[in-house]
Amino acid sequence: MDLFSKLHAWTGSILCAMMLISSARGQTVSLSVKAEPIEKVFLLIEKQTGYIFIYSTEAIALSRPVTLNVKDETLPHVLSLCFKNQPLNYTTMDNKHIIVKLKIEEKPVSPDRELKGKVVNENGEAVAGVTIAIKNSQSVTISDNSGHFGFNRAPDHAILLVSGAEMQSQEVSVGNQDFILIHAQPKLGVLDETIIKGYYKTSRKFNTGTVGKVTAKDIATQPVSNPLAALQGRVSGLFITQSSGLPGSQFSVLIRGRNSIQNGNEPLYIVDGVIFSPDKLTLRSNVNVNSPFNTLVPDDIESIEVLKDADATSLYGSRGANGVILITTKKGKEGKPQLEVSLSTGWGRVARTMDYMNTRQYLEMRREAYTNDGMIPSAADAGDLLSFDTTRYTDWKKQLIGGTANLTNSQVRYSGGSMNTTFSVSSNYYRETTVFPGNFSDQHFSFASALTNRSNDNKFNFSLSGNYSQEVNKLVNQDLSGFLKLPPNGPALHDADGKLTWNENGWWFDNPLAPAYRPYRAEIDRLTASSSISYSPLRGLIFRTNGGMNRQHLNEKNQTPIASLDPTYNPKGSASFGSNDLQSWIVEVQGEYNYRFRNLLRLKTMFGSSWQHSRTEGNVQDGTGYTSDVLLNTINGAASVSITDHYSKYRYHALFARIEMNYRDKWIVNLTGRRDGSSRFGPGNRYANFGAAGLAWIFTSEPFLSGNKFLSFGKIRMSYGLAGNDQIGNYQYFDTYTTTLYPFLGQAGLRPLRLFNPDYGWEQKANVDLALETGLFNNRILLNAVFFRSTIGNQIIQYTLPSQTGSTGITRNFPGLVENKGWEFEVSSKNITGSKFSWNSSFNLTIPRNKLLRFPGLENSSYASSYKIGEPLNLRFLYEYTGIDPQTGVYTFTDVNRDGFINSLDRTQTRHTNPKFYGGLQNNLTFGKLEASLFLQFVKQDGIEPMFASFSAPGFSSNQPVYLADRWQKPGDNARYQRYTVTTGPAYFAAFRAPNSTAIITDASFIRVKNISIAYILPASRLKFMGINTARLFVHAQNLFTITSYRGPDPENQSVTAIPPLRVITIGGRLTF
Amino acid sequence: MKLNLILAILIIFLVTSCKKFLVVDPPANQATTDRVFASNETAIATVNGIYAEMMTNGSQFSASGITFYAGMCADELRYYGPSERDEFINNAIADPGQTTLELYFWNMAYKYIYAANLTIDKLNTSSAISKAVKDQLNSEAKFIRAFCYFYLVNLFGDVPLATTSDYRVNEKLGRSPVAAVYDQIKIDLNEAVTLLTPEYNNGERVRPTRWAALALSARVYLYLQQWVKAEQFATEIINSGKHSLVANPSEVFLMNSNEAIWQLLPVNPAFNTWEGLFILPASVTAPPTYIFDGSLVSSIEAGDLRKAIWFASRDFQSQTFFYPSKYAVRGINVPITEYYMVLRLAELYLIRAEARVQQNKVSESIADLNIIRSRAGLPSTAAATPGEILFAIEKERRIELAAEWGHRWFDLKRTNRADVVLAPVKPQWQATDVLWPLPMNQIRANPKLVQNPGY
Repeated sequence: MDLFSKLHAWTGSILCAMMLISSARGQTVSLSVKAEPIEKVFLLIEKQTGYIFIYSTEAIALSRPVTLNVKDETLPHVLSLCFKNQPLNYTTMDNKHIIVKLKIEEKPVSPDRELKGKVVNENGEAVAGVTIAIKNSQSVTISDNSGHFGFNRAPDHAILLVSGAEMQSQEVSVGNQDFILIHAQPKLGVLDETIIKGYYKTSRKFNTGTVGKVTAKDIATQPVSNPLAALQGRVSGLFITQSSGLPGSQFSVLIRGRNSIQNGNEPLYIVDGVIFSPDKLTLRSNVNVNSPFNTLVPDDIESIEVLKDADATSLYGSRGANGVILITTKKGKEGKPQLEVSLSTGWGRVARTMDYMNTRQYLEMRREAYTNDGMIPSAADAGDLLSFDTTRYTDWKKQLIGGTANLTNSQVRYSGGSMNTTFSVSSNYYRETTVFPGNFSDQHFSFASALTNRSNDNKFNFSLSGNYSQEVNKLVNQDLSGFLKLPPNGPALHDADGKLTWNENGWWFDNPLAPAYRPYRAEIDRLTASSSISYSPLRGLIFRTNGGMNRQHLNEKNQTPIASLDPTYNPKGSASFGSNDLQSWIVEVQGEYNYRFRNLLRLKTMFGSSWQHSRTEGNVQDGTGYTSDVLLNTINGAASVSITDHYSKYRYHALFARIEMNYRDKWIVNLTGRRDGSSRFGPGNRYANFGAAGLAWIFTSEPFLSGNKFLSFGKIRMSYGLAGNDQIGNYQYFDTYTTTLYPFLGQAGLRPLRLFNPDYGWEQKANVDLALETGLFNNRILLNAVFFRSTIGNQIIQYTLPSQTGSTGITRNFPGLVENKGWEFEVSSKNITGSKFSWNSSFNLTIPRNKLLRFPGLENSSYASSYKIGEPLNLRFLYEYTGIDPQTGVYTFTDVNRDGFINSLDRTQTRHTNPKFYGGLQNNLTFGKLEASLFLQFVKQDGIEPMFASFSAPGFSSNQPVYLADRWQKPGDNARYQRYTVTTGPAYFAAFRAPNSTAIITDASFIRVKNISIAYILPASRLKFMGINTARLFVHAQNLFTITSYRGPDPENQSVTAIPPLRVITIGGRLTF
Repeated sequence: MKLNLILAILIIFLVTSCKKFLVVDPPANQATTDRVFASNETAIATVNGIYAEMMTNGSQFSASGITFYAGMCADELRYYGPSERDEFINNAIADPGQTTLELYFWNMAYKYIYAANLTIDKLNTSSAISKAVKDQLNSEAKFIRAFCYFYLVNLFGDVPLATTSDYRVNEKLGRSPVAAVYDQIKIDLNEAVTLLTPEYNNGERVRPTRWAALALSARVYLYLQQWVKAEQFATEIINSGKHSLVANPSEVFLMNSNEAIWQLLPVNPAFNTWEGLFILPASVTAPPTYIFDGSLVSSIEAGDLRKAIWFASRDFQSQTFFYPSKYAVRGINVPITEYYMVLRLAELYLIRAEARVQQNKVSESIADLNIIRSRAGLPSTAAATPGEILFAIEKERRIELAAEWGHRWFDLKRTNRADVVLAPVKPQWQATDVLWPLPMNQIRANPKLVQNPGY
């Protein structure tokens, strides 16, 4: 890792250079004054050193004019000259302030004395109008315009109560000082909430970009193992769908719609500054689980920020186009160490399913099908009628996915800190089982730690965090939902010997428990560590280096024992052994300089550079021909072995900078820029520039609106910028050979993999946001409306080459253009605020629109049947479904070109299933010790009706949904579904066309009670004897119920082969000691 | 100002040092083309790779596709049960968008042509490969190129003639006339005949040799009706002493059988040939997949030894179906005993018989035909006139070469008898059906391609 040491050397030299500069700038003074007032001399010294003089007017009034002529002298020396022959004393404080006071003769110590002081803000500026009272006395005063205040008589060791309109109230103990400097902390209103924008922070008030935020409070009430699940419906512009209800299932995440025609649309994920890869590691898993996010413990997360517009994402340059999700983990907080223990247990069940026919309905369907076709059931094709027991009924839904999944979560966290150091360590154990019969589980253990430290003078800051987690996934390697179509009169799953049944009276049966006999085990270890060191040589100037690494390792075993296979064919066992390793690191250096020009202008600048590296390497050994199940644990037992391996490396480098200007807290301009290089592109196209400008006008700071009772806050902001997308996979430009799947006569074979192709570059997204943010009634109601429009051009597509070139396509930039535009609305309101009862609500709504604007030559390209100008990218080209022919009872479709055939040329109807609008509504209530929250998620969309899309022609020996009973039976019937059939006649072929016809499109809108949480806080006084500070008991429910007219199991994942998201209810408690 | 200077230096340093940072090696399981052609071993692997790939996907033209699809187009094979294959059986391919033609025939053939072209181009510029290896690989690549073009031109008619690996040249090619494609095939085969080794290395007949190039040449000249050359090349093989007809028909298709001139090696260790896997019924009760046309089975003379061995039968739903059983091993995870036969000696006798009768060498022609008949346990042919002999050869080819690489379909086409034979048995037959449609996606991707008439 020579590069690492190189970087460290650089970092070191930067820091050294800065320290030299600081001594050169900070500590020497040059002055030439002649009989000037001392105040003016103070100003000159302040300018040159950054120190601030603190003094009272009375004291200065007694001072004498100063004459001085020094050059590059040290500050103490200059001060000693300056105060020579003055009736004043001075002391320096915390390297920032010089306190000047009158020389006072020693007086005998008295209990009451004069006390003076000054109130300053975080920038050292005087704060006027602050109320200062002496505790347990009647003395009260107010700071003057220079921030000064004084008491003629104050007791020794007095405690001051300090409060003001725009500051947090605080108590200050004076000790035996007679001058005290009070640092006022600004009061944190709802608009002062910190917004993390990756490389920098801002506040809601001054933010120029569009950023959504979900905090620990909202995450904690949700019984989910994947933090992405906690975001569903809570952030406008963010559309998340869960692929299945299995533990660790993958989520599809889209921020403001699909940008890229053919390449990745996944946002960039960053956890504590380290890039987090969302790709699952598993190699031979048939179920879509093992999302790496499952190893991030929701309890450890402090906040999740979703960066949406160019102002927020351009600083991520080539990877920002699809938006950025920043996850910040919990750090320790200043204060007494605190132990927090939480335990919960829960139950999950499949919430919404589809009813299948019972045996009576099924047999009726089968027999009607034979009658319809004039056939008699024969042993060759109707084993379910002739060989199976027709009086038996098994509800496969109940038997296969009707179980209860158990969830256990336990977390211990110990955190605390002093002024300089904070720490936090936590460990978590999570286990979730499935609704399938059998002993399947996914469990993970994780350990997280965080440490921060700063020097007394606040110049050095250091933070370190580490996270190790281990997941053991023992899930069935096939979703049993796929078996619900088995005939309901199928045989018992086990025979008298306890072995799997494969037939009854000679008719084969696809035993649904067979997958459960095929052990699958994946072990995933993940280690993430990151550190940040910063040094501030001068006020306003900070240098920082961040480093982080991430390592994930997978060990996977997937076995198919002979016992799980039908013995008729004398099967052999097989086993695969996979290993996959992901390693990545990031190193960044950055500098920040903040400058303030009086109260007029605040300038924040930053520049930096980033180096990133990631590597994936792995292999799978597939062994086949095992003659005994005992040998399945070793590859040596296989009769033949094939090995596949993979390797890829990705490197990335960037330079970035930002300037923010804030004029009188009214106008804010934020400029960001980034220059990116990526190893995914050919030598000539590696670098590209991205940037954005954001502008905000806080119009309520204008005099004509200030103090308005109704409109307490108003901001108009806009941003424009460019970001890029490089999610095209590695090595696309190399011309390479790769080994053939099989060797030839024991020698390796090579096959050409790719054509040499150095000529493609980034996809580029241009984004405009226009937003209005308002606060009403002293910001009790916040209303935000955002309009966004982005166009993504320079699309990288697999350009279709005629295959006479030996290749079916080549990666090329293409002047296609995709547009995403829409509206996002957010409302939050504190409906009732009281000490006994409070109620607040928040609501968000997104109306998105995705559209292909330009695709030159589309009609004649091979994409003519995939995309259409003016339509969304997720488009289906379908036959026009024209209902059931009342005479024949068969689905009919339009023969568009009237050539007498229904073939691919007739698929001219287009439909999409993108959401039309979506959002969420949250309500939080507090009644004394009781807290309750309710969250509703809603989506308006079209979906796919499974009856048409996923089932075989009705009538064959495969079970069907109950609602299929609405079928054609005799000429003249007006039914929803066609006649039953058992032959490969017109009805059979029509059923094969139906999935590609408009018949499948159905309304899949839903309103879901996504989350209900009730918590009770036990009175602390009762628990004190046990050392317990607080105790909280809670009930959380997720996906409680769904209101929808969708004709299928679940409108979210719309699948009949994957179980829907579960309804989960957990109970638990959280104690702090 | 010092600060600015340091920052400037720093930024320049960061920018310039990072170009190198972004240079990544190719992945360990891939190799750049230039590196591949820097050593004999890896260069050889590029040609081995083509043979392995030709048997990797089971449905493609080189692994079973031609046998099945050309067989169905002719009066040779049927698919048991209805499916989209019906359009081949009826010669009623209505939807040029259907993908079988594209995925298994067009794309695969051009994929191997590209691989061969790339090897040829890179060998030309490589200095690291020894002369002997260069000659061998060059001629093997040219043989493969000729082999692929032979099937493309016979299935589709005029086809784009790519002879370089440069996609910028190839993507602009229109269709070349059949004659031009054959000219290239002849040039390539001629070079292969000159340079390819006459030896079967270690007894393995899975790499093309001089004999394979001669056998394909003999067939090419037969198709081009250049009888003298066809006879000459066939004779050279028949007289080589390297091959002989295997007495027992059940041993013809075994690996490295003495009748084999070129076989493709089944590379998937799990089973023998794809045709064995696809055709032979999965169990003792299952129906076969591909079955013989009744007219073919009924044309087999009584006493023909081949019938029991190459034409297996299965009773299913009170019907008897005959299905190809030249490959007798279906089993999964059994030792490999059969290779996939591409060129074999029997065809050369039949080529020579036809070439000779076309030159009026009647008795010599009958002698060749009788060699094939006698191995089948049949008496000498009764055909006497050239016309009768030609029919007898056609019939003999239909049986001897049944379910092998679409011989029947190509024979009907090249003798212009497709209309006469197929129109009565296929109601939807049109004269234009002798050529398959060009895949629609290819026409889309390359507007210079013009569709065949009738589609």
